[in-house]
Amino acid sequence: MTLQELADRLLDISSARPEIPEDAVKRFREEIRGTFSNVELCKPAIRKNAARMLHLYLLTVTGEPDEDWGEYASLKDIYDCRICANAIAQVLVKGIMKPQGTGKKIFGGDELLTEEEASQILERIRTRYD
Amino acid sequence: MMKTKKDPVPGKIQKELSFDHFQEETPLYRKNKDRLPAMGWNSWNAFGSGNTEKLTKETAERILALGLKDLGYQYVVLDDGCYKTERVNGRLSNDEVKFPSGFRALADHIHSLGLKFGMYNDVGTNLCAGAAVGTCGHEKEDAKSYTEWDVDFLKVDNCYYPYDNATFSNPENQRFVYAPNIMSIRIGKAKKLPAKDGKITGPSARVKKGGYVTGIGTLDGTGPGHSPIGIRSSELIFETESSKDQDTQLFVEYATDRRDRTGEWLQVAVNDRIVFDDLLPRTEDPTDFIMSEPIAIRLTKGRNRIRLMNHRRQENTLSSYATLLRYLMKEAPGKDFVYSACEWGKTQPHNWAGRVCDSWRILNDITFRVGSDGDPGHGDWTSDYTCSVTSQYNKAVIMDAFSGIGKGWNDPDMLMIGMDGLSLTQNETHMAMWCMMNAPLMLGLDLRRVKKGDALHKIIANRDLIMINQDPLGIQAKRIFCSLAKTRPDRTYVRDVDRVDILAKPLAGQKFALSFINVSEKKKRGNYSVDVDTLKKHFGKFIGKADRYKVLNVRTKEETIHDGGIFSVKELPACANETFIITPLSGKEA
Repeated sequence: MTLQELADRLLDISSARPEIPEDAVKRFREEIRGTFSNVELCKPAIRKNAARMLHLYLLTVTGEPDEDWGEYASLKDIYDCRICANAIAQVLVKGIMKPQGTGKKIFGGDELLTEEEASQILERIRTRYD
Repeated sequence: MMKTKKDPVPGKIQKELSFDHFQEETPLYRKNKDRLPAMGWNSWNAFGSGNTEKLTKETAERILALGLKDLGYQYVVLDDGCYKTERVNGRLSNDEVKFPSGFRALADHIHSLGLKFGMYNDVGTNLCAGAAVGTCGHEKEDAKSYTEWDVDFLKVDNCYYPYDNATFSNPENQRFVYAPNIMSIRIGKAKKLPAKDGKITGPSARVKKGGYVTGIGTLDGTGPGHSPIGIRSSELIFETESSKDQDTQLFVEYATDRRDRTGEWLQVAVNDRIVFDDLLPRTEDPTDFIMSEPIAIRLTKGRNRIRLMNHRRQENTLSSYATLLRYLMKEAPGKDFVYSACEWGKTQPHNWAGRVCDSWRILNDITFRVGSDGDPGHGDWTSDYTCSVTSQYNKAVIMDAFSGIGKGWNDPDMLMIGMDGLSLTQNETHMAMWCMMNAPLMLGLDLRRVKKGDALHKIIANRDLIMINQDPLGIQAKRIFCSLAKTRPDRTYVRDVDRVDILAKPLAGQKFALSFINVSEKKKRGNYSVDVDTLKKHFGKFIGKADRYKVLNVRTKEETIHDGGIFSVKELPACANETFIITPLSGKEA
């Protein structure tokens, strides 16, 4: 799945929810455009970029504020990406994505987002409204 | 992970940019270095990538309205997130939604308010937030752009840097910045000299089981794990006698890798003259040793020193910052601007950045939870990594020897005052620490949230603390006491925050500032004292000795007259500081 495809599927979720303001969706689109280049959007999504996009969605569309990093502050690779670190921590804290590796000690930001994981993520986003 | 289309290889290093010339005091390209630490506001901690032209203009207005300009806050700096994500006809371009008027118009507006305008870029191929507009390979046209936009301050980051394993760069780039594993050398037809019998300098290299030397390079200073003090690079040195002046050949038995502090790039100097500085052919694995092709060397009669080393981590980075500076100075020869290196301390910039830059970051970021419009962001007092006030302070506080007017300033990152997560007391101490350490004072909060006279304003507008930071002597405070360092409190790297520090800073006119800092999150009681004789040992003529002193508490503004030369504090609440400006009084003044 490319990053653009992930964005499209997130927009599909919001379009099926009439209670989500149009302004919020518009802001999400603007944030995507300002955050990711066309080149990045067309590439297969890697986990850290997926986290960034999901974090933008949570902030702009579902209106969820950031939370304390809690246990995820001690993930081995949380500080590898200054731009992604908070986004990664937030999607983990909110249960949207899961850590990886033995003992769940890493996030694995450079790993590709698999179709299976993407489906699980989108289902978790969908059910946040329920 | 960023991979360039054509993997670039670092070029030749000019002699003036090489490791052996780092300590030369003359700044390069006639850059003006006679300035005190910069003061202003940077958009990153306040708004992250979400900064806009509108927010910037509002911030500039607030700087005036809050009286901050009159206190010295003058630079308004756009950090990451202001450019289009791709170049337009090879040139940098404004994000037209966020910055519709363009950068020149914004600069003109900032200048019309009597403020100065700053921008951000990166020595790599991309900015940290991903935009493909880094200056690498574009220094000439980017210097034109910054000149056209009349930029007074340039912060330059280090992400996607192709000549080291920087953030988002190819991790295999470390092949450029570490030497191969070395098993032995051979000079001419003489016997091999085992590497383990050579002299290893610095903390990075060591002899491995198997008898070879690994880790010849420069320690990565991004994280809080290493002290900045002392030699931070390792070399392997052989001393050899020659019976006559002679031209001969050197052979190096080596094995390469692209990880674990083993690389492919070797530098060889004979009697401090570089004779080899290039990649060596790759080997199958890091213990599959082969003999190099011959390296032509010249030995002189008597003792000769052969250095096997790799200083490319520092040299490559200095070269990149210098290249951009060279073009900037060429485009606008008379332009005075602040050049702020943001390579996070990775390459131990305090060793080299003074040649080109006005300040250098010493660690990775102070927070990874920056704010946005409506969200103040989050800061911490302590952290296991770099993301806290004390992480940055712990390192910067022992780096006073590297800073000064004409050299530049250690930069423990932007202020987090105003972020969630820090108490009023912690914010007060954060400001006092940065002022005493001659750190650049770059505000990072949404100034629309600040009212004149409120608690935050009182901290950032503390005239006396700012005066300490901007004192014309330009001497960073020295830590003269640390409850966890019995010897050399000024040089011992202490990360345990359960302690009290005392900092001393000479000020113009033989005055001095003392700061008693409780770094811990528990109240501390004790007899924390300083005497003037000790200060005179450290600072000599800069400290005035008298029978009486005027003592100003910079927080309470209480002024007292103090007899004798011992100054004490008996109790400090958690994370608190008591900072004083002390003026020696003559008999007449008393």
